[in-house]
Amino acid sequence: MSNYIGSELPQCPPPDAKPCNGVFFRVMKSGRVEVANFQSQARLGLKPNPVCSDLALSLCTTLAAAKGLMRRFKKGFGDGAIAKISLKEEHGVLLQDKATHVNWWHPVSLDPCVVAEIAEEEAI
Amino acid sequence: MTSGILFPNDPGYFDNPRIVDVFDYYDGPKIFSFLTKTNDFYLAYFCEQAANSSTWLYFPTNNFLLEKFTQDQVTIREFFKLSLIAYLVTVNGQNQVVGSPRRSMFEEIPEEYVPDEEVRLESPVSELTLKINKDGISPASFQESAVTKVISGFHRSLKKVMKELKKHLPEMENYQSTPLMALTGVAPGSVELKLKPMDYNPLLAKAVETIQDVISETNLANVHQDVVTTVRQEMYSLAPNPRSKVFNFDSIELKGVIASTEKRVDVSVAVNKEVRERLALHIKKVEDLATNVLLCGLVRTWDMDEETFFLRNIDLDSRNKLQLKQVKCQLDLEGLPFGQEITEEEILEFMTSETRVEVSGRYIHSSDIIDVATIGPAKQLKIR
Repeated sequence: MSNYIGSELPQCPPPDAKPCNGVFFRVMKSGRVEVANFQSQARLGLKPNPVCSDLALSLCTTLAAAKGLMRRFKKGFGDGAIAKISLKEEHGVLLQDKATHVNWWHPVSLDPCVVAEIAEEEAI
Repeated sequence: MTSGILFPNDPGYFDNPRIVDVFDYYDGPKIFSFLTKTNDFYLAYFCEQAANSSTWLYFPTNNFLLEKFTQDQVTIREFFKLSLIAYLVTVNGQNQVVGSPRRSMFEEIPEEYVPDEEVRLESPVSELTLKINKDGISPASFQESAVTKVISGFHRSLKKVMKELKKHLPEMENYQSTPLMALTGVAPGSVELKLKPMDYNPLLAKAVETIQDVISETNLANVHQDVVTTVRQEMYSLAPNPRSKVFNFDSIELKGVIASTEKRVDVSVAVNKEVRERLALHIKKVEDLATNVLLCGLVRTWDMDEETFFLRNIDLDSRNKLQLKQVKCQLDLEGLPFGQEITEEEILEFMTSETRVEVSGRYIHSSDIIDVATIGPAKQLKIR
């Protein structure tokens, strides 16, 4: 798995990650689909000693879960927007760690904006 | 203990916290408990992200308060209030605090950082609370066996609903229809049981959601009629029976959250109280009419639109043999109810169903039935 984000770390993405398939949702800080909204915590320099999951992007498995996240963190996420992410096998790998959340490691060559569109026009 | 670091305002006090549990994760932990260098226990709540730093609220906490929070007994806002104080902290990319933490009472926390009233922690799994209300029952007359009967009855019902769902939802066919549940607590006043799946099971979540929809009569257009019937049968079989001396409690409530959809479940089998009251009235009418139709079995299905219900009637006859009948009754009784003879197939289905039935105050297992005889309109079942 040498072509994915995070592959500079050993065992990353994790061997039990599955090929992408399905529709997911990402809460974006700004109201537009732009690269700035698809940076991992490690990429933003917020993790001094990143582990594999710090290099992944979080996605919600349902729109309700994305809205719930915006409600729980009113200032942190609430003034953003939700992107609908449609993924196929060639878009990387996913690891589901709970009902409403997956970590996504996409190919380095993929611009995530290509598979994203605004799920709702107005900020929620 | 680290020398010179004792208080939240001491430099380095909050640096490089040791995370204990993560309760919310999205691009990193967003709500988590942690220990400081001096082993003080805190809950961290994410406020906002800037270019090179993030802002957090750190609440001094303890296991008792944290349990209330994580078990969905208090909202996030209520947790903030109960914590009394918080430290507003800015953390840089090296996990070090920038400047001095600001000690704040609840009223001093910027409103933009405080979630709205009803916002709760996202449930990690569909934890359910099954509450058996018995306020109207004197402690002396409440039979403890009712608790185990309700648990096993609920478990069995949930399994049946899941099996029925699997028949109609191909995407669920690979999931187990056996919910793995653990009893985690009992509360006084009523009997309150925590039922927690051992693992994430979408089929279980779907079954609970479907029970909610059927009982509240919402979204029924999306539910297959067979599933609706199964849910109604199973939930009514759990309801306190007006003639039963075993299920002597007032009502059953089922509460929880479906994690995948955030749908709140709030089912009360006392919703069926109306049906139960009408049934009791109906039985009284039948008794007043001195009919020889026995009406001491469990109601198996009902149809509020048609105002009819089916009563599976099982009792000992004068020769002490089991007699099984199914009676279809009009709730709005003008004349006598009419009996509908039960078929051989239904009896065979019952005999192989591995279920127990209440017969004159005691339970008979279906496997105890060894023969069926037809005498007139009734079936006689010989038991071991």
